Amino acid sequence: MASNLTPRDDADRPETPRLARLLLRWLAPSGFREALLGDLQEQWHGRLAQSRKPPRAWYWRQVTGSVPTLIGFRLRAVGAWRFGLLALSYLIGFVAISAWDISISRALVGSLAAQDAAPSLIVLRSIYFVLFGLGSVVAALLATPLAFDKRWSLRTNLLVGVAPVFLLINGLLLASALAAGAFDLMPYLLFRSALMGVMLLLAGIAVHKFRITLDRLI
Amino acid sequence: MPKPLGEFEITVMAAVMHLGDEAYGARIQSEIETRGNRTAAIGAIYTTLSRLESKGLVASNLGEPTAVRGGRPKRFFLITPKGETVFRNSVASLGNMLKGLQAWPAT
Repeated sequence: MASNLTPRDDADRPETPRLARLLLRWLAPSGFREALLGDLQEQWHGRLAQSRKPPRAWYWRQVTGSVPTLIGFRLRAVGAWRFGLLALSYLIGFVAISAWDISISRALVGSLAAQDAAPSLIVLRSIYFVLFGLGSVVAALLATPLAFDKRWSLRTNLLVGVAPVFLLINGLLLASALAAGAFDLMPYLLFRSALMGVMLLLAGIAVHKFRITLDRLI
Repeated sequence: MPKPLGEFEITVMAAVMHLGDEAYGARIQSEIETRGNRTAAIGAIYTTLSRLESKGLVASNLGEPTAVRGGRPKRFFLITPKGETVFRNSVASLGNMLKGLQAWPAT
């Protein structure tokens, strides 16, 4: 009987796809998140007992089939005025950060002009801003930060939740400055990255320790 | 008078009624697939049940966590008296709309 499995038996079996699980955990509202993940895991084990091959494609189909309704549900739950407020705050934050970065852009472009490397930098910066803007819109749409798993250690949560955000935001800027040879700006850029790293680290610890998430605050 | 249920809401509530005490997400999905001969995403079932619960048409309670579910509990659903009334009215309304269409298309 499947429900008689001990935790050790369970641990010996192939796990459900981690990325799909993470996506579901991120999108599903807290009210039925655990029940939904539990149902899928139960079905996963049922299918695994019938076939030697882990039913990864089936699991992914379940998750991707659920994504549109889960996003729609979250949007309805957030409500129009809250969503508007949230989108506005993201927009203001985006404009403020962009304005801050304009000084860096000017200095970088000025530094690159002498090296005839400005066009490539402009392309890189455009990608950076588009990614940042898209990220802000997606985050506003979902009205939730990256969901941290309660059972994971603080280190794992920071690696999964904070590190990718930090690398995405700072990596491209630092890489473009390095590629352009704008070494005189590196101390400033590194200081800025370090500052952002500390802010993200503190935010990550707060989310992990106190479960402070945006969908709880609004 | 409460708004009539949508087609998928009727399907989900019917599955909950059929399953009785065993109505939880995975079983509801399987019931819809076997009895209703259609597929339904598990996320769609839960969002529908959550919406019905907020309207007071279904109620839910948590079962015991089990190892096979990764230590997660089942969430069991049942139809409330208000839900039963709205369900019957919605099905009757749908039935009235379909009445006389057996010979469709008209020849």
